[in-house]
Amino acid sequence: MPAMDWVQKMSESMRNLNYRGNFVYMHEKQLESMSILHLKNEQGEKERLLSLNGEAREVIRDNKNLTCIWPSSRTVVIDHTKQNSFSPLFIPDDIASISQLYDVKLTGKDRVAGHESVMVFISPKDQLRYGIKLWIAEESALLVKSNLINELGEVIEQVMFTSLEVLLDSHDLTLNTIPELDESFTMVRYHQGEPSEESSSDVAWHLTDMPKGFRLDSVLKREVSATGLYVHQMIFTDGLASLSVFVEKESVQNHSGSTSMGAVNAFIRIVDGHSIIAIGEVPAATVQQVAESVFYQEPNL
Amino acid sequence: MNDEKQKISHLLDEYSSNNFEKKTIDDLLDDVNQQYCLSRYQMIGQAMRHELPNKIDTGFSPVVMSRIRQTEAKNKFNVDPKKVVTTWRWEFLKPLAGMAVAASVAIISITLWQSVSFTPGSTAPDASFASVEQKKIDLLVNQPIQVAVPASTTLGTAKRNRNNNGMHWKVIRDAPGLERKLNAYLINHTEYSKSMQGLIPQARVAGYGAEK
Repeated sequence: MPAMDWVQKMSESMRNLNYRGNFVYMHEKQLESMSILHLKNEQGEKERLLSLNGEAREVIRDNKNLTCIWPSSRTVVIDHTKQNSFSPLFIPDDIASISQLYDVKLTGKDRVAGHESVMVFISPKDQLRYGIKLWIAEESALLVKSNLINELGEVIEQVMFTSLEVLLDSHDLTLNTIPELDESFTMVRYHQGEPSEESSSDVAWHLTDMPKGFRLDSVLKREVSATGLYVHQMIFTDGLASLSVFVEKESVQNHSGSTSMGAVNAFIRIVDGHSIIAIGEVPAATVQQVAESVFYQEPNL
Repeated sequence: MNDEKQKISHLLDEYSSNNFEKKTIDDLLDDVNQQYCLSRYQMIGQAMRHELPNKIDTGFSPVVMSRIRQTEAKNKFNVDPKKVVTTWRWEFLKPLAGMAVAASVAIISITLWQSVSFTPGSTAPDASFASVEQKKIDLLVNQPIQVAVPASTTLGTAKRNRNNNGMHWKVIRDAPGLERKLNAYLINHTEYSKSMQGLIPQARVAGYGAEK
């Protein structure tokens, strides 16, 4: 099976199969242990991500809500969810454009968490995006390991399952929370409804120098509860990588320049009293190029 | 821990009905961020008095949403803000700055933004400000459902953890507001973008703030 077909099959399996497992997340010389349970039935998908280190932080996602539980602070936060799965959906339509930007190839076989796996290496053809290496279980097509690789060829973030079980009979399974949600919990909800989407013709902020292969995917407009200020978010993608540009009335106190956290880079710039922040899982040069090319133009002119 | 959080911690440590530092209290009432911080410390204190039960089965979201609706209905009428304030158990509040807060902040930030209706033809980002007084009222009336509070709680812990090589933004020193902002942006980016990076983006969110 070609490499891209494995990626497609993996995307479908991650969403359609019932499974549970533990994995480690490595980044910046740190190791986090987490567990995941994914259920799919006629009602849709449900997932739980649980941190096994320190506080049992718990994130539960279903078709409608994203629920976060912090037992030690007895807090539950609920919000609407945009995606209905932790696993990204691979869109077959992207394949043609992706092949112009990335080389996708099978690089061998390996055994991870007891699963025989095929290795798919998606390597960028330029230095504007990261590469990613995927280990996909041959039998289930579930993702068992992934490495994010920077422009220098270094592994900068890694997720690797240490155990993974496909659940064949999920009728008796339910998604449990670790603590009982009793009266001592404080329910926190910040807003109702979802961000409004803007049509591209109404967007007043534009880019003069879009990195090769990236395109505008969507635009959102929101109000910050605490300040009443409006924030515009433009999301760009090349089919595999993505970055966002946030524009808001100046609120980061004239800070400008670049910053990073693990594989995520951000570049901040002040333009006409507005903060322009480009952020994404792409190299620093890419977010800088995007941030520096943002300009304001009256819509529909 | 930054100066403001230290003041709040000190205030909670030393609290008795007679020795509140008036200026700190005044500052507190003028700053919704600090109020939220204080309420978080209160919750941490409450958590110390509870044992976590065994796991339970739950139809999760419907249960929680139902409880929120009930609480909202309960709070809708005859809420005396002073009464709400005085029910806080000050004596249990301890300066556990960020114990639970750091981990939670990233995902709390998901919900930072309120939705608005887009008006076709609008151009530059608008700006509108609620009065400080209104914010105070909103904060009090909405206890214990904390509506429209800023996702600001990562500040103290971020600074504390930075020396530990924890997972935090490499930001300019003493710019906690910037780190807070970046957290919110990262979470919203993760939620709304379509990166094909497996579970890494979600693990990044869940792991944020964890110490080495």
